[in-house]
Amino acid sequence: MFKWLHPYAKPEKAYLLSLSVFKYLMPLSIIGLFAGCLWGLMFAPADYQQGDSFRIIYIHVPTAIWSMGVYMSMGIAGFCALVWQIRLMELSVIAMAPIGAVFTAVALFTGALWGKPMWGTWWVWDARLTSELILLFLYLGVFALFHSFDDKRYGAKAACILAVIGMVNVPIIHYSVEWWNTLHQGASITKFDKPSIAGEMLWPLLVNIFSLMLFFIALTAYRFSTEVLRNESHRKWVLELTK
Amino acid sequence: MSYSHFFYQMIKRDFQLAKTQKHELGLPILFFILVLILFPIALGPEAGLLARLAPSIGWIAVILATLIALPRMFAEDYENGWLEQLFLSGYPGGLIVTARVISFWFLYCLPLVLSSFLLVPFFSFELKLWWVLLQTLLCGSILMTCLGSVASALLVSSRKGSGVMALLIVPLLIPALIFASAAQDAASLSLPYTSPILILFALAVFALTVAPLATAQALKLNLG
Repeated sequence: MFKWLHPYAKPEKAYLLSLSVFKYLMPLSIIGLFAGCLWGLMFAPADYQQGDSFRIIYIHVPTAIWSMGVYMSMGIAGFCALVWQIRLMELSVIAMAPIGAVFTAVALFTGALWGKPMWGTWWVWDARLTSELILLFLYLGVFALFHSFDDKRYGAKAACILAVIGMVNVPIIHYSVEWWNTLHQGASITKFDKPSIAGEMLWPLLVNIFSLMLFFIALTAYRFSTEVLRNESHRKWVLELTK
Repeated sequence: MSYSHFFYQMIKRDFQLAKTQKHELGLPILFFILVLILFPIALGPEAGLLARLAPSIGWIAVILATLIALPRMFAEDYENGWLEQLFLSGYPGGLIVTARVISFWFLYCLPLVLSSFLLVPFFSFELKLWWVLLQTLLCGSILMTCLGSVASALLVSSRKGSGVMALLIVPLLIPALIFASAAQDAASLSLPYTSPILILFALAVFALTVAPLATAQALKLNLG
């Protein structure tokens, strides 16, 4: 595996790879998101209890799932960067942080919109909402730490350390907050034996979750490639590329 | 020098330095008292309400005062080059950091925790409940110092660090606050409150084990 992976430690190769990842995955993810949203918003049956307002699930749940998934991948990338001292991995942590923050913000915002008609309030201090809010601040912390250094290399390494610490802490925060207060409904689709959501509603949701992942990968690849270019701006291959 | 002797010398040095700069030790405590004063003025002097809010106010004030003190943890040693010499000396970074964390806790956090006794007269807080608050604060302040050591090491060479410090530490402290308030609630209902305090203590011990390694990494990074 490492023989195959090895050439991509070279910035030039990694740049070209990430560009091609972006080129293929971006249209695919947009088609997927478009199809999933159209299917979910137009053709899926309305919920018997929540009516049409449940349809925000097709935005809310994918962003909420990937807000945590992005943090996990950020933490793993940061760990790899620190342990094996791979410089490009540090850049990928920086590439992922704002995307994750935006996913978290979208999940919080759509959650508030959904909470208003269902629970009668924009915000409750419930476990999942609170841990999502804390997650947003963890993302912002990683990003702020990166920008509080003049030397981008130090900033990126510091951000990696913080991402790893955050990754250790996220389960602790999650379970302690859960223990503190819970109102949010339980997970409806992670119970594999028998999902408590009807199939016609489930499929567009799964499509959206999957395409949002592709969207995340494509965006990360794009941000990563620009970060690589900025970092290597004095190198010969970049100069040749921009000629 | 053996490791244990080195460790002892490090702590001794920190205490001797602190003796020469006594006014700096007092500042976080003054800040703590000021925060305490703000609450009765903002909430009104009703004794029952203040007594009910006292433990949470005490915790918040300790967190804020610790945030004031934390940037000082490595700043001076970093600026005058002492830290760089230490890391060149070949002693393990975790040992250096642990010594600093322990002396910092004794010099800054322990006085803060003890001065939470002011809640008893100011907020007509029951002495029995203050005893619980003291235990949660003792465990919590260890956790705070450990997390804070990582953050202040990360930001030691940054010019714009002070605002970022809160952003790094406060989200990570939320579990501690949750368990502390759980213990406090249980104690105020005269239920057994040992288990949240034990969890808090476990978190503190875990942090004291892992955080010095991360802090040493962060310092090495800043020293280049």
